[in-house]
Amino acid sequence: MREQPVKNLKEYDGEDQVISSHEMALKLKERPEALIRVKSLIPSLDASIEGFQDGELIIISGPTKMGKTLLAQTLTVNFTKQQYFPLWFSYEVPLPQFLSQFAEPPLIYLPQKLRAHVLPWVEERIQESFLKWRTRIVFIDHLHFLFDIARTKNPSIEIGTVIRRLKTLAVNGGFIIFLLCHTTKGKSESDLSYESIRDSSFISQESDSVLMIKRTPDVAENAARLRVEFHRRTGVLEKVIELVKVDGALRETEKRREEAARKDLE
Amino acid sequence: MVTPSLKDQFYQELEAWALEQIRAGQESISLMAEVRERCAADWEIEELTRAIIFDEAQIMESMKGEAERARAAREESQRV
Repeated sequence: MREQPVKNLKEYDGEDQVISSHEMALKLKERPEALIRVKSLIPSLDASIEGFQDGELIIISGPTKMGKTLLAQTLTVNFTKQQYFPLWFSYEVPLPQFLSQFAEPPLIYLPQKLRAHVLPWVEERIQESFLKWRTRIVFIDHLHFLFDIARTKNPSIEIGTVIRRLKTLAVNGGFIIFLLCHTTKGKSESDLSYESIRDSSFISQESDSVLMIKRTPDVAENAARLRVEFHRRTGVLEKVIELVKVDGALRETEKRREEAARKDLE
Repeated sequence: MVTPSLKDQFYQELEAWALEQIRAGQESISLMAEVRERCAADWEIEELTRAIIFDEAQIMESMKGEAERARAAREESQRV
């Protein structure tokens, strides 16, 4: 009775069959290294993380009103300059306000109507947008709109599930997903790190990189500090990049840019 | 003589035409993005598709302007 499935498995040749590492290496060589590789156009960030690649889940976090959406919008504009047009789920900022925040609204794609707390709906729109418009970059603002926290007994586990599904989608579909997350309230701003991300340690465990952003009015009125908490592919840790808001977008300050350029030449 | 309803129809059709051009641009960009991905190793195709995508995006931008102007003109003519 038990012979049958074993016999079938011996001849099994489905796409998930078990193969040797040598065969796998040969198969991987047939594939392009990356389907999409796009730069942030923030010199020090690009120098340290070597741009963004398909299959990556990037977390953008920071306290409320500290520049998360602005950073995401800056990246959006910079991606469109490289002819990559992202798909946006702007739950936090109403659509007219969201579009008016761009100095020049770029070409992006958006669902005509948003549905909150329905992850399968988000996954379906991501697939729809890819099939229709070949979008490989996705921004979701923000995580807590993807599930109903009021009905959740254990937010941490729920978040872990959401993050894992997004990461799987990024890997299987060849997407770069940027997910915006809030930090825990009351946490001292000087202590901000990926450990301050609200509700779950799964967020940083499952993601490829965490970018923390906060405004630094003590430096200058329009200044902000971006910190690459970690980046799995390159191994970068706690890299700080000073930014300044100019014409509705974040740019690296001149001094830092020169340093990054010098480092690139070296 | 150009009647108000004829003017209204003209601007309405102009807006619809501009919207159609925007949709055609989206289709074209999508197709070029797919070609760029599939031929990632060929830098010449990469450059060409990039240039076409850039042009299409510019055309879409100007068509958006056309549609907005047509809509504004129609609203204006309705007010008069």
